[in-house]
Amino acid sequence: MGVILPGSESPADRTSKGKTRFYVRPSFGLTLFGPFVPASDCLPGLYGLTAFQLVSALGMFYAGRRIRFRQGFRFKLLKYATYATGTYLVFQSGLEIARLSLPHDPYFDDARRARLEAEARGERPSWWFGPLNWKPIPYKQYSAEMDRWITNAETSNGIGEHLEAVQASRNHTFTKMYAGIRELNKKKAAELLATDEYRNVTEETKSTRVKNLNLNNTYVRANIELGKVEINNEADFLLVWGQLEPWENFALETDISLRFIPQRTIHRPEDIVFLDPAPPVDEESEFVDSQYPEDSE
Amino acid sequence: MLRRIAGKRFAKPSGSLARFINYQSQYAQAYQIPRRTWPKKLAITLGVLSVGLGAGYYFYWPKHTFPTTVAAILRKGLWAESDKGEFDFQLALKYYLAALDECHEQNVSRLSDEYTGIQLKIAEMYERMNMTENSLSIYSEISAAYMIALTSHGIPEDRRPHIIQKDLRLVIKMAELHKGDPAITKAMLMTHLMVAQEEVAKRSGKLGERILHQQNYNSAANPEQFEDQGDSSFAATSSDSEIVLTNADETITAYKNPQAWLPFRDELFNARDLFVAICLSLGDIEMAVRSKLISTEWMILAECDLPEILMATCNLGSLMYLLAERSESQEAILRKLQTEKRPEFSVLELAEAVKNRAYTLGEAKKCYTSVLANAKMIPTNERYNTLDEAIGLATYGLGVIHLHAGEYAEARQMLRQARLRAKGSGFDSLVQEAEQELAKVDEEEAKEMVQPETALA
Repeated sequence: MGVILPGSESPADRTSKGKTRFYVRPSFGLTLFGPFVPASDCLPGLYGLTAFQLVSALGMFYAGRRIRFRQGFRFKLLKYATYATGTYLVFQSGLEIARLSLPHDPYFDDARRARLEAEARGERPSWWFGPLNWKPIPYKQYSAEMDRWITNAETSNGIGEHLEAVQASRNHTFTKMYAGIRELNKKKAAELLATDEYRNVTEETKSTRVKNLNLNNTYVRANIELGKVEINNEADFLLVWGQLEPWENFALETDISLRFIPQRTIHRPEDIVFLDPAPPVDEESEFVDSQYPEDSE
Repeated sequence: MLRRIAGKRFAKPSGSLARFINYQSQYAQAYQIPRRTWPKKLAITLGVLSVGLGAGYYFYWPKHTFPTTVAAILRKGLWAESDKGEFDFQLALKYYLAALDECHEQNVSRLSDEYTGIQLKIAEMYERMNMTENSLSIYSEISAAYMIALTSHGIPEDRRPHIIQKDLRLVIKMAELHKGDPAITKAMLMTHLMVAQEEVAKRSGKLGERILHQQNYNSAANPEQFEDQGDSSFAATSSDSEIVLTNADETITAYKNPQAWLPFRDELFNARDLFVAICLSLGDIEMAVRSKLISTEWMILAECDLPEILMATCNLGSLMYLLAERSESQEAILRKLQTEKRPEFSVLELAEAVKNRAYTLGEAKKCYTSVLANAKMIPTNERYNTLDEAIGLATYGLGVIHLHAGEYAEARQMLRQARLRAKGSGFDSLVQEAEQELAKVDEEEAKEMVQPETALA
């Protein structure tokens, strides 16, 4: 049985101490913006800047078209320089859009990781730049990562097909199970509502019933306190329901963590009593002498 | 009109730019290039604005697409359940059940968050009113519907991870509520874990093959057939993008793939921990250890926070220690058989037990010391509670191991340290356990003082 031990990597590996050094955020087609390029996980920023660049490029074409009927070398040069810049910007924007539309982006992962780490340390990374002292991965690593991702994608396709077949073979069991449980739940609800107790459940009988409710004392979730909030119409209701979103509450409720605390059990020869005075004795089953405690929180 | 204005404004052009612009207006006069008029501009502006607003609404507005009739019933339910309705859970339950019927009438999808959200409310009402059985079967209904969708591949690929995440939450809840046969809970957990893990495998490329292999190894009845899982400990060296697992014979490099585990990473590892706990309660320590071992490796691959990984390592150490305890009890029984000269005594079994105890005790110690060593490297300003708890538990574990080995002074020191740290981090159950173990140290030491010859035997 092997044991996996976490490694001996310094956790503050790429965040330099003391002075903050700023590294230009990586991109393919936004290099003109230099240090103003947003962090790779700030997608609105990246798309916004790309769009801005594209619009500027179109503006150049528009401006270029308006330079006309003019003699002289300088105006021609100006005109063609404007077109050239526009073309370059369009090309660059295209490059960035192409990069962003790839389904995998190592720069994104890297930036995201840096941001989460900074948040875990209690910092507040900038929305646009991410954590300021973050040093993005070099292009070489980006390209190696992409290569690996492409090879992996091929393997994944194979695994995916295999798993689809495996999972489909389990489908029948669940279909049968679902039909059974669904009927059961319907029946349970119908039976409950048909009882005398529940037939009397109305707004009018509230005062007597509420006092005698059989409540679960160990239930963890808090009761709903509307206070001054009114739910008089559908819009109010949607707002309140959104605030109390059942799935989000459920997530908090099921976020558990277990700790196993071992205990020393002392095994003394005099504590071991063989039930059967004569042989043969089946090993261990008659005298399980220790309980293995576990502690859950 | 435009022409006239243009002509007026540039009546006396001066400088090259003005002349250039003047040419433009002459050009416009000559060829009648249609200019945009203000209604057109207004229309374009309005168009762009409405598209923008529409997109914003579509992407960012919280969406609850309850049919109006359903919303009307749910509104009464929420009201009844709240302070305004004097926490009338019976009436709320009635409304929620009616709302679910109405959803059925309106053909709301049974996989939608709206439909399942109402089911969760019904289950909650049942649970609040001590009808745990009823809420349990509601949870299994949702979960079975999810399983059908997942296994028949009837939902879009990008929705699958979210469905899996919700399914794992349901499974955790069900495992907590189910007080009956733990074997059933174990089987249920295993089934649902498999679907989640296969999803990870599918998105992990080469690593996926390893994950599937480990999954089989995890659930195997005879793990001996998996020879390559080795009998020695792996040390994992973790860098930004990969972990390298090394032991004496081989080196395995696995690339981290945090994205493949999202968004259900935390739910998956929580459910796996529950699985481990259930294996323990069924007395299957081997399977518990195997599961925890695999979890720990996966947690590194999935880039869980270091304190979480350290806590997992602590738990692994505790499981290893349980194995050592069990070997020790087998050893004690065999020795007793030996002294009584019974025929069932076997020298081979005794040798095996002695060997196993030494090995598992060593592994447990490795786990705990590695936790302490790794924890030291986290700067003090970056510490949080889980880390403190992990350090406390590791110190405690080492104390128990010293006690096991009869090194009472060290045991006492470690256990006291652990108690102090546990108090500091509010880990109350560890405080209690540490006190109990300290009492055992005293007891053992006193006994050894009285009859040193027995202890030496």
